[in-house]
Amino acid sequence: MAAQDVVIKDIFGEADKVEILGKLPAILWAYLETARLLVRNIDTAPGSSARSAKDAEKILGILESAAEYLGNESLKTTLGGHSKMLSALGRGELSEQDFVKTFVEDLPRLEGMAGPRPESLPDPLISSWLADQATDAADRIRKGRAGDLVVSVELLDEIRDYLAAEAVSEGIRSILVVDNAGTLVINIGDKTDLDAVSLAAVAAANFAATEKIAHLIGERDFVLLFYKGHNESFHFTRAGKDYIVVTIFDNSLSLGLLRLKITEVAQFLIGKLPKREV
Amino acid sequence: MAFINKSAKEIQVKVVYYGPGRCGKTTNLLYVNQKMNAKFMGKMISIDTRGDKTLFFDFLPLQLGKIRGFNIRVQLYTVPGQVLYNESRKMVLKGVDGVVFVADSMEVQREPNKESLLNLKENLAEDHLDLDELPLVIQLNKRDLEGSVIPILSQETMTNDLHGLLKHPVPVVMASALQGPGVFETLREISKITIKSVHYKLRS
Ligand SMILES: Nc1nc2c(ncn2[C@@H]2O[C@H](COP(=O)(O)OP(=O)(O)O)[C@@H](O)[C@H]2O)c(=O)[nH]1
Ligand SMILES: [Mg+2]
Repeated sequence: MAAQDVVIKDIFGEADKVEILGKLPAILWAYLETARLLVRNIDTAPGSSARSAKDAEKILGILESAAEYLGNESLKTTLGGHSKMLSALGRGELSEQDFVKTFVEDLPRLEGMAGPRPESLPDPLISSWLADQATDAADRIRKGRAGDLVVSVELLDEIRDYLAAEAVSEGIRSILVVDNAGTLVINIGDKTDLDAVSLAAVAAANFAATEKIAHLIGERDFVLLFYKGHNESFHFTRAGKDYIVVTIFDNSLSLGLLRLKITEVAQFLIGKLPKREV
Repeated sequence: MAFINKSAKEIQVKVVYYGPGRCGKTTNLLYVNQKMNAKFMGKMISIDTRGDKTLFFDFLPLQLGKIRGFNIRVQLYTVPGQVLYNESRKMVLKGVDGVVFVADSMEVQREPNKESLLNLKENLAEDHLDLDELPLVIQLNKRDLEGSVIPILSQETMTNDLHGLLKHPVPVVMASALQGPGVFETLREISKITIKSVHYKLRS
């Protein structure tokens, strides 16, 4: 990341950490199930460990980053040991027999850390959905940037210049570019004195609520989202999957003209702004 | 605002699940939605973003049978927990009749729990409502983590923390919204005291 980059923080970044901690015991149990399955497979069909070892390694990856965040040294060490054993097994440097011997000894200790066994475990492999979700979240936590968006200062300037020249000069009072979760990305125009941060959060909530109304009445979305005030009006539109463009304009501006402009603006933004990975 | 239809003998109340981000508010509603007889339930609506993260609110309308000859309808709402969404929380709180405060038992959430309860108090005050006068139940969630490697707060610590911010003690329910224990107990408790308070207001 260059010094000139602007990080638009993911509102849910901190929450992801809380979430993964809450899931840690369940993931530990899922790992233990997979580990026992692996040992059983080796017992019943020697030479067949490769697949279940892969599954175990996948869950182990999630656990290691969760343990890192938790800061529990003894858990980290145990998991690190497993990680080494599994990869040695995969490379054929460790025989299945030797692997089982050391591996099985460790499992009760891990069970102690997992706490009471939940009554209903997700299926042996923790449903692949949960695994994928948790892997993603853990990965983001590991990289320390959750769903943050990184935009360069040059790009922000370029977008601001574009909006000023193409939109604000044409009778539009203000434009706010907001991400899906309500984070303000860009705010330009003569309304900079208003509480744009709150406006952005509420606008995103309102936009999501309106989309839900569309679904409830069987529409995919509303083509036009528009609120007419006494002096000024608001117009909302999506720019791709990640952004919402909120436009504040004078009632003297024709709605047709506005829509034409905003469609252009949205297209421009889709081409320029980064897409969120998550 | 409770809606009372005397001729149809029906009372409708609004209950809001409040608490810090990721404490399990949505999970409470999901569990109720999963386990309750569909006959007594409307459709659950979640206004969320990127998967399951509440952006505005979740909504679940329920019918809870008869009390003193009145049909009881309860509408459950959750609020978004993130600090930035305070305006949205205020909107959801409008006309609230009862609150379930969901506290997260994880040690790392000790301060966020207290901040969230204070935030609730402030937001209600702005609407001229007094948290200490409102039907309130505290749920200590995620008790399933007890005994695991994740450090959690004791019932006593949490109760002291949260009661310390209130004038009178309120009912406290231990729960695991993920696994179920305590979810319906919380719902029963808040419904009971909310209906009682609505009845009381009705008489005076
Ligand atoms: N271990 C554990 N996790 C829980 C519990 N309740 C909720 N969670 C998890 O906590 C996370 C956030 O829950 P959610 O209901 O979305 O929180 P909200 O932000 O308050 O609506 C999810 O990953 C849930 O699965 C619980 O009782 N125990
Ligand atoms: Mg939620």
